[in-house]
Amino acid sequence: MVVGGGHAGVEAALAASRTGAEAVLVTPEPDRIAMMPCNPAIGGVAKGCLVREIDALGGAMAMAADAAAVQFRMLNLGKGPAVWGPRVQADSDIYPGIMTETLNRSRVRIVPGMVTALEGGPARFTGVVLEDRTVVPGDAFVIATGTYLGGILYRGEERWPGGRAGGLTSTGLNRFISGMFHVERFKTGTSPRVVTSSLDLKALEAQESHDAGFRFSIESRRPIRSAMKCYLARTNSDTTAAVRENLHRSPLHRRAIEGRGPRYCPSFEDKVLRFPDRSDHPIHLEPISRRSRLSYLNGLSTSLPQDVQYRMVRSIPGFEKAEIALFGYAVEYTRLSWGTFDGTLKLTGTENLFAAGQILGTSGYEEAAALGLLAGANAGRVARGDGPLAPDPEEGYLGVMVQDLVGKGIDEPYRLFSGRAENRLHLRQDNAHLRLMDFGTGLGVLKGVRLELAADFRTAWTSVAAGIREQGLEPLCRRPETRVEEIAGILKTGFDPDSLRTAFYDVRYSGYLARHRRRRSAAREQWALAVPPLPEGGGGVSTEARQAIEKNRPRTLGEAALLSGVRASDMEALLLLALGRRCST
Amino acid sequence: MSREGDVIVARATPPGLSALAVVRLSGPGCAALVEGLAQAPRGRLSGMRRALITIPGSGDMVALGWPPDRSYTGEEMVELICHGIPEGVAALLETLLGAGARSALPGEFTGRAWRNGRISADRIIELAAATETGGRVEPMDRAVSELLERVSGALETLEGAIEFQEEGFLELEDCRSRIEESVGAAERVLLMARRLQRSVRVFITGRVNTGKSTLMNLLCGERAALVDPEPGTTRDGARREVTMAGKRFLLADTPGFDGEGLDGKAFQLVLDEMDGEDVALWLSDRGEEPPGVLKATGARLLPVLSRSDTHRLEGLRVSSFTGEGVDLLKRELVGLVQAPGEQEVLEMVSMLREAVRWVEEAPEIASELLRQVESIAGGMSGIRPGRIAVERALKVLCVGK
Repeated sequence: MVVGGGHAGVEAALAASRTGAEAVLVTPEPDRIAMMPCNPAIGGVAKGCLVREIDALGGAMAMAADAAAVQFRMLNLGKGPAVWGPRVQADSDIYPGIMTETLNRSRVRIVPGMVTALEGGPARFTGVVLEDRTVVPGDAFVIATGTYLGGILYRGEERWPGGRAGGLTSTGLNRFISGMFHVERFKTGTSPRVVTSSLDLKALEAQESHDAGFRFSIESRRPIRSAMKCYLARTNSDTTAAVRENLHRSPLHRRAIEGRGPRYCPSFEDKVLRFPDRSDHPIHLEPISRRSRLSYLNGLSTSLPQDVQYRMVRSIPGFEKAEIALFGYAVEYTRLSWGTFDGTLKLTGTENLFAAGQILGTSGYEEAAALGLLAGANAGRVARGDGPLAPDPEEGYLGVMVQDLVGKGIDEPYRLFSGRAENRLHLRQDNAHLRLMDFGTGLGVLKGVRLELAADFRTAWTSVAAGIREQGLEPLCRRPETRVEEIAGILKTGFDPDSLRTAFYDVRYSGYLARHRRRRSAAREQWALAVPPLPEGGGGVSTEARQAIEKNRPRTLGEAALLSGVRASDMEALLLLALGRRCST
Repeated sequence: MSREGDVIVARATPPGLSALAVVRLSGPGCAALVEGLAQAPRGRLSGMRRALITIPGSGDMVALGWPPDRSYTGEEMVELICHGIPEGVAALLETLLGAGARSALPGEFTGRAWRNGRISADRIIELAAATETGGRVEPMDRAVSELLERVSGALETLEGAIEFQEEGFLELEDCRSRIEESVGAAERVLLMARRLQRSVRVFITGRVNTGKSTLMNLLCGERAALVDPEPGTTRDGARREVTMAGKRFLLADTPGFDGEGLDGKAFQLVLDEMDGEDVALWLSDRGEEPPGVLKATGARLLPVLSRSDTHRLEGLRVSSFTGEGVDLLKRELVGLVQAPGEQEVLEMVSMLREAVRWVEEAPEIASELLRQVESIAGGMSGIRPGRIAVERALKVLCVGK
């Protein structure tokens, strides 16, 4: 039973269904399933890799992104393959339709309705209560309500309830969730949409697209071909002046919004405040769809009043006569606090209640979809009587994200970065299907054609890796100037180019990965040590750290390291105390 | 390592002749141990008590008892204040060891103080630095923090360039110069590490007339009479502290191995003094094997062919006359000795240099290397700055301090 039909909800329902459970998706607006209310793009650095991981776990986002793509770019192409970021501009009219079709083809049942509460509890829930008081029974639940949970929209002096422009808001369920769990408020925002024909595109820099035969899904038949252009514009001192002179009218800076906003992907107001010396911020003009006359202004997220938004937009060269069709706004919503859910995305203290997407504090379609997949799969498992599973942070960005959300806690909307992974060189977009095949089959979500294709890829990769080894090509692969085509030329048998590339990158990074693994295993040993009793008078542990430890009572050094207030020097003292204690016994 | 509960003992004042010397004992039962030797009543030294006692073979001395809550180490402690004649102090230590005490390891007193919450890690570092730089406090900590700051800064720039290429904020060129600055910072840490190293004693041994004293002159870089005889050393030769490649050595000239009478006795004293921490240069102009007695000391032996201008033997050839081989010998000595933590710092320097090479083509590899440097310098998996400094400080501290 999945509550919410956004990117998290759709993947959750599909994943639950793949585990063999009877999946139901409840949404108040079945015609707005998998909408793209923010920018019409999927992928990017780390995010693109996550989309590949969703594909490797049998999810739908990758295929839908391939099918809806109007432009493709491989970010960071000038850098090494571990940080390449595949990203598409998606036709945001087509994308929701593709997802709805996918749902229709599956065994997921869609129930229209607004959920106001859950039945049963506090440990085991038995059904959801709709607005008209009807109860839909279920065995396990996923809450994926996005910004609709207690959503309030802001623009300038205006304030109105809603999850997104034109959408409803979920106040009943918000009351219910807030009453049961510790919650906080987060905020995010979006940019104005302009009428493309009102712009002077010749004044802007057209962005090249890379059509390198890429596809997100191993199952997609043809690679992405670019059909539409994106443009790059730059703001100037007039734009920042418009913001600076009107900051007092911003709901954020008037402190009307109490929720924390994202530092990465900040509102334009934040950029002006945080980089006072800069006025030339890049703005990406992205077409919303093939049919739409509108374009999205990526980088100009704002909640200033309409007249200020006009002044800002029209200050940009090429935008002098720009018409704004939809104004930007900020949205504030409820999210679950740290400690209310575990690594399987199950809510603490419950047996069958899961959550995914923005309610866990993330931002981004990709993050939401991946979490939805995990929560849905685990809900499906619980409904069928199996235990829920947690992903491994060493094997994928999904695991990295879950570890961050559960372990460290966050104080702003969480976006995935490649730098968040400890072993980034291993978490590449090219080997996602190899990394997650075992987890996907174990979880029960990787099946059928997708599984066969992944298994074929693994076979091909194994044989090409053996070929490289047997022919003694490893030293050649490691040389910085060696290109994969050279290796292809030396290996006589015809190899699948994708698996050759993956095997080639594996060898290139192998020395660094081995070093990471050595360190990692040494660290794990230390992190497992019990927190030692703190001696009177300090023993090198700061007062702040001592208080944090006494309050939270971590069991191991690994847990202690995650507490705020515990610094590197404190960990050092704790480690020595722990080792000293071990020596004396 | 069931060492915590042992009674440890060491001389707390500098070696050599002095008016008074202090011998320190720490650990549960140390008061009873001294009371037993002095045939004093039980409990005479418990609490903050002072007593004039006599230990057979060592004569009269003042004993000071410290209760755990007042002592330096946070354990029961006794300090014995006696005449500062080296032989007398050695005999007293001998007696105490015979009664069940154990020789303290370098920094063990301070280690116990730290473990019992009597002293902070920062203080240890300062203490060690002060000890080693003649009272000037120059914490190693500062150099490591600076390195960490540089590496973290470089890493931040690098990650910005990787994640936000589209924002156009950061250039890899900028990352390169930041990593280069980190290399500089790591090199400074290396220098500090070497400065914090305790000086290693190098005994120049050999038969009479093999050119030992001349080699000593050459290694010190001085032609003039070099001696600055250390008080308390009677029959052995000059000792001189020198620095090579930032590392500290205490060069010791010795009397000929085959000397007779007093010289022979003096050489025996040198042998008694040597242990596994020392280096012994064995000089010979005939390629002669070092004698068994020298090998038995456990010192690291470095055979040197002296007077190389007079023969064609193969080996580490040094001529005091032409100066041949002196630089090579210095390099050998530097390579033989490693400052505590030096290996880690050298590894960091080489990883940072590798990161500079990768930064433009594969910033993700440069970043991986920087992360590893960060984890060596400051991470849980490697050695955190506190630990690097504390560990080093504990090794460097004078025994008994």
